[in-house]
Amino acid sequence: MRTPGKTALWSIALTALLALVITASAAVGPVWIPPDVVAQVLLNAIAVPTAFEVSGAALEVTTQPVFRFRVSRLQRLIVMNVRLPRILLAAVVGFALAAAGTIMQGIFRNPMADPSIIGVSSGAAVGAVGFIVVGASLPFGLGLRGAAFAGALVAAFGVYLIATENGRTPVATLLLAGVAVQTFLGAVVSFLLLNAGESVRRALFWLMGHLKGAAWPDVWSSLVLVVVPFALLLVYARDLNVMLLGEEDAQSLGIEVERTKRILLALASLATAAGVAVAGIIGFVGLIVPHVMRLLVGPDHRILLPTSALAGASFLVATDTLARSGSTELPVGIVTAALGAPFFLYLLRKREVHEL
Amino acid sequence: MSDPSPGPDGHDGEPIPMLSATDVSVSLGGTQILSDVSLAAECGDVVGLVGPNGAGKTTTLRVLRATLSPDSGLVRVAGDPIEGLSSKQVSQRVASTPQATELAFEFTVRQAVEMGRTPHLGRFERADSGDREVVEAAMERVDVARFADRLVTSLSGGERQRVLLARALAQETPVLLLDEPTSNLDINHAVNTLELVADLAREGKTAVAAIHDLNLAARYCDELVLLADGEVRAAGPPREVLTAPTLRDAFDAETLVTGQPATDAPLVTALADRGSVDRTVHVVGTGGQAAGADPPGRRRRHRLGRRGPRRRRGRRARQRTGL
Repeated sequence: MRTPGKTALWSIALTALLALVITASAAVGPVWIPPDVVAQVLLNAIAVPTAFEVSGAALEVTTQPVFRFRVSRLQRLIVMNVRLPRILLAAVVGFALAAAGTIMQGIFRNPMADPSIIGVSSGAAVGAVGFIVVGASLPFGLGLRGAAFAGALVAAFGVYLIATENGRTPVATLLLAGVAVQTFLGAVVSFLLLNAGESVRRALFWLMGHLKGAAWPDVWSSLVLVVVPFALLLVYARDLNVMLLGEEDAQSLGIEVERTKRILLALASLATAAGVAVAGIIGFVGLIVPHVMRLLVGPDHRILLPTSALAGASFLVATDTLARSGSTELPVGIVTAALGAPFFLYLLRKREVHEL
Repeated sequence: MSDPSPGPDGHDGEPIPMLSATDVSVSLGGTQILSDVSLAAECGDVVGLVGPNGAGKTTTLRVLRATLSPDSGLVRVAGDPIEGLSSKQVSQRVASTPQATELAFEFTVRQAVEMGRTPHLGRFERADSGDREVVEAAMERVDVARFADRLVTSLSGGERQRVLLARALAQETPVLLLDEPTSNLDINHAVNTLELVADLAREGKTAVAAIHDLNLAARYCDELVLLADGEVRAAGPPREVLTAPTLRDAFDAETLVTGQPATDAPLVTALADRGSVDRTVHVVGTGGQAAGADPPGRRRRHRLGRRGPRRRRGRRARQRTGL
């Protein structure tokens, strides 16, 4: 019941952390830009609307920057046009994956569930690799992402349909159907890769997860596709708490279990698909971040969901900074897994000892 | 029903039961679990579901709380068919405590009891001070307030069971369904829990409880429904239901039904299986006589002799391995 205050406190702290991580990340690159200069550039970008004018059907908004720090044009361009889109996209993807992971772990009542448990990533992989292999002559960009996004949603919906009988979707069936479909789609991806020829490198790079070549339009489109489901998920946070008691208990406490499960699965899959479509397959963020946050703030989803999402955003910005700051750029999926897995194992051992 | 205003069907003078099941049949996985089960509970009643393992007590409760829809038959809560009510509407009328709860994540006792307020909160509504008072009062009443801030995962089975009861009380419903509410409790908490259920009934709630212990059921229930093989074998006041013939029919066991001291409830004592009744009585009788006359060593030999050579060999073998 003291949850609102605690949620606000944690959310503010993690938002501040995210701002710090973004600023630090924007400083790092082939050209070092001091963090205070980065902060000035970012603050200069904040604008408030000063006047509204209706001209015909369109509403014209005049905006006025709040701050006017003096920074060099080159530094402004590097931060605003080169680094910031990629950093913000990393933040959005991390936010989406961690939020979806939290929801999936709640639905499956299993802290080992991850955002792609019902086949979202595998579907996206088939969509993306299929597009790269078959339709490589089409323009890069929306086509690839659209294919991945569509593949992700088709796979998730397919798993849901397979696991549903007479309007009921038992989570155990859902889990097994997810595993089977992922295995099948994995085979499809392998087959496509065998026949990929020259595009195999690009397909592999996609499969490993990366944020290279991010541009502002990607940021805006994925932001919308992530923030809207997230806001709706927040509304269902309390229901998800009750669902942790078991479905029958939840129903006798007034939760329409099947409907709630359907909505949660759809929203979490949508957010995951939006993330995976722009970034490829990035493992461990959606598994480890909710897990760590649960240790810190407890299992109440009203606080766990927003804090996990914010922490996920910081985590992916930080790992993507590492991925791009070496002499050769690594796919960020490699970095998250390489850092995440040992940390996760450490937690697992520590918890086991703690429980004994 | 103490409520004088007639309900939708009450014009003919017949009181509407708060909770009723009519000819409910359920089969799960091709096995008939319940066959034409009917029961009714008035306001202020404690109805006990008794019967052997697998008789259908839990299934009956699942049907009564609408988490399982019957193949045929009808359940009504306060006159309304339960299948026409939403989960939320049912949860505002019927609270239930399951036999056990699965909690894979670490909530505190207070958080778990707070979940009982879910039926009364709108989607965008937060628990207010009124809800908090209900939660605290519920925890006091079942004696779990002492460990309100402990994690549910750290509690014993009996403590968890009381937390579940507190959650059901926090739900503030007219009907309370309890599945083996005392199965994990020590005798003190078992009696206190059933006293609490009886108090709640006096305050006007309707309680239906599956109770394994026939004597606790006899003592605290106004009515008993004896189930066996998914059928109602007997129903009525404990004195009428708990008789040697009905118990033989339902449990396939011989029982001795006498009176409980300090209450007028029947006392059921299970005897050994039918074939051994005579011999048991016989052994007790001769044993008693022998105790007065024979020296201890001889008495033991005598009893060993009566039980036959196989037992004796077994005993010797055990002694040898002990050496």
